[in-house]
Amino acid sequence: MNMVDSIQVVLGGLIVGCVYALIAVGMSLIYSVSRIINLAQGGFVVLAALTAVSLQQRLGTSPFVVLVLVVLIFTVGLGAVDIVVMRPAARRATPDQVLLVTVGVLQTIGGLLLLLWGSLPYTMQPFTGAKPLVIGGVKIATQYFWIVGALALAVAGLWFLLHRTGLGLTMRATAQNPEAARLNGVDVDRVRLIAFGISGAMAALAGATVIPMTFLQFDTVTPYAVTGFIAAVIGGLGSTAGAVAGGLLLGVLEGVFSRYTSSSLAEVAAIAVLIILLLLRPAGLFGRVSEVRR
Amino acid sequence: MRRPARRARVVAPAAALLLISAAGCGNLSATTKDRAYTVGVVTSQTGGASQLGLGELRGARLAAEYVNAHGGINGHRLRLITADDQSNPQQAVLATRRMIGKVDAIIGSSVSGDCNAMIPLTTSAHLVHYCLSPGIKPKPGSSVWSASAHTVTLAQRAMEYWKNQSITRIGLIYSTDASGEDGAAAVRKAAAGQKGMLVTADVGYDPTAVSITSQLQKVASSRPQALVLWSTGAGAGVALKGISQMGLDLPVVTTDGNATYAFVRRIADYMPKTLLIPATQDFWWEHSTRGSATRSLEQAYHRRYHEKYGEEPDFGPGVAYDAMLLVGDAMRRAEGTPGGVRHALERESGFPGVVGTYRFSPADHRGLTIDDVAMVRVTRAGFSYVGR
Repeated sequence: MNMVDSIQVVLGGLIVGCVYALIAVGMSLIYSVSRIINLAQGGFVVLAALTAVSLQQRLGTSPFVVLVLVVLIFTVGLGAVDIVVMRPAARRATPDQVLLVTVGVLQTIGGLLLLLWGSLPYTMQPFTGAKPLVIGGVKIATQYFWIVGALALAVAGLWFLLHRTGLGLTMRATAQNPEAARLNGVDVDRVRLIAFGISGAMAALAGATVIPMTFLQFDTVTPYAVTGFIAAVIGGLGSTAGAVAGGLLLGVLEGVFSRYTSSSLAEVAAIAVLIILLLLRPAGLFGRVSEVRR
Repeated sequence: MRRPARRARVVAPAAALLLISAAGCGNLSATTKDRAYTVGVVTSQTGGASQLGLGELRGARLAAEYVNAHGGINGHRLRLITADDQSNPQQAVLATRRMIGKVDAIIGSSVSGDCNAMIPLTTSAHLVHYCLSPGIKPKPGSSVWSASAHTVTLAQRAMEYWKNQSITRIGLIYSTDASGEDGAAAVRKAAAGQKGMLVTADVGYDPTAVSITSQLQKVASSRPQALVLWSTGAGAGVALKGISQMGLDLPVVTTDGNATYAFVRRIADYMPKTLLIPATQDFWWEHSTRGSATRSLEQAYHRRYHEKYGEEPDFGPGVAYDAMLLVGDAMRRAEGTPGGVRHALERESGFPGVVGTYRFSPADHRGLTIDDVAMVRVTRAGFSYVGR
C-alpha cells in the first residue's frame, strides 16, 4: 500500500469518525447534564438528514438555508422531546428504565421514517460541487470540509458556551452536581432543556452534512445510535473532548481494518481494540474514574 | 315499522361480527361462498421490502384478472386472498396460518427470510408455495418453488458478457448481508468458470456504512477493468456514490434487485457511465428470440400494466405475474386431484412467461436458464438491452 492509498484510507476513516463524533458529543452533553444516555441521538441524525432532503426538494433552496432550517427545527424539536418524553420519564423512572425509554424513542423514529419517507434510500447533492479536490494524488470530496466544519463549529460553540458564558457556568454546575445546583436556585429543568436543544442542533448538523456523502433510510437509525454510543463511551461519557476522540478513533480503526481485512472482521477488530482500551482505562479516554464508580 | 327495527337488531350484530372477523383476517379479500380456485398472495406491502412487494401484488392481481377474463380455471373463478407481511417473517407466518385451509396454493413472500419462515407451514399443509424471492433454493421434490433466475445464473451471464468484451480483471464489492454474500459467492464461482477471468479484489462492507472509501481504495489499487457491486438499497447507493466521488471511471454490474425505477431515480446523479444489470426477459423482450407468440404475451403484459398502474413494470411485477399464471395453469391441469397442483407444476415444460420460459422438473423448481438472462444498461430513462 503506497502513501497516497494510506492517506486516503485514514482520511475516509476520519470523515466517518467526524459523524460518529457529532453523535457522541450530543449524547455526552445530555449525559453530563441529565445522566440520561440518549440512544435516540443517532436516530435524530437520520431524521434530520431526511428532513434536509425533503426541505431541499420542496423549497428548492440552497443547502446552506436548508442546514440553518434543519438546525432550528431540531433545536426546538429536541427541546419538545425533553418536555414531552424525557422529563416525565426521568421523574417517574429509574435510569435503567429511562435508557429503555430512549430505545423506544429510537424505534419510534425508525417507524416515523418508514411511514413518512418509505423504505427507499435518500441522498442529497453535495453543498459545493460533486467534483473532488485532488491534492498530491489524494482525492478529497468537497463535502468532507463541511463535515469537518460542522464538527469544529459544534465543538467550538459548545466550548465557548460552557467556558465563556454565565449559562455555561450554570450548565457546568448542573453537570457537576444537579442537586446542589438546584439548591442554589438553578432551574435544572431549564438547563436540561437547553442541553437537549443543543444536542438537537448537533444531530441536525451531523445529518444535514453527512447525507450528501451517503444514502440513508429508515433502518440506518440503529447503526448510527450504536456507533455514536460506542464513541461516547470510549471517549468517556460526559466529556466533549473524549466524544470527539472516541468518534475519530472508531472511524479510523474501522477504515484501516476494512482496508486490510474483511468488513465483518474490521468491525469486530475495531470494537476489540476499543474493549481493550476500556479495560485499560475504564472511564474512557477523557472520562473520570469517579464517573464510572458513580 | 316493527319489522325493520327487529331486522336491524339481527342484522347489525351480524354485520358487526362480519366486520370484526374481516378485521381479524387482515387483508383477506375473499369469501368462500362460491366455488373458486383460491390463491393466497403474501407480499411485503409495507416495510423494507415494499419496494418489491407492492409491484409483486400488482403483478399477481393483473395475472388473476387475465385468467378470469379468459374463462377462469376450468370454468371457475381464480380468486386471491392477499396479505401484507410488513417485511417481517413473524407477520408472514401469521398471514400463512390464516390462509391455510382457505387457499389452494400460496404465492410469496417478497424476500427469502419471510419465505423461509413460511415454508414449514406450507410444507406441512401440502400446499404449493411459490416464493417470489430468487434467494430460496427449493429442495428437489418439495412443494416449494422459487421465482426469477438463480443468482449463479445472473453472475454467469455477467461474466460471460465481460469476457466477450475482453474484460477479464474484475473488482468485486458486496454488502455483508445474506443477499450480498450469496451474490459474491456466485460471482466468484462464475469468474472461476471463465478462463482467464480474475477477481482482482474481493471486498465486503456493512450495508449500513456511512462511507466505503477504504474498501473502494482497496479495489481501485488492484487495478480492475470493471466492478461487480452486489448490494441493494442504501448499501448499493453508498457504494455508487463512493465510486462517483472517488472518480473511479469503470463499468459496473449490479444485481437485478436494483432493477427498479424507484432505485434508478435515487441514484441518477451518481450513476456510472456504464451501469449494467443481468436481467430476465421482461426487461429486454423486444430483443428476445422466443417467437411472435411470446412477444405478443410480453406486449400485452407491459401494455395492460401501464394502462392499469400508469407506469412500466420493473423487477417485482413480472415474477408475481408469472407465478400466478403458472399456478393457475397447474390448477387447471390438476383438475382438483389431491397433490395434483404440485405434480402438474413439475410437469410444466416450456411454459412461456414474461420473465422467461419455464421448464420445471422434480429436481428443478425454478425453471429458468441462462437463456432467459441478458445484460441491460441502466440509464436515467430506464433499462435498455446491450447483449449477452
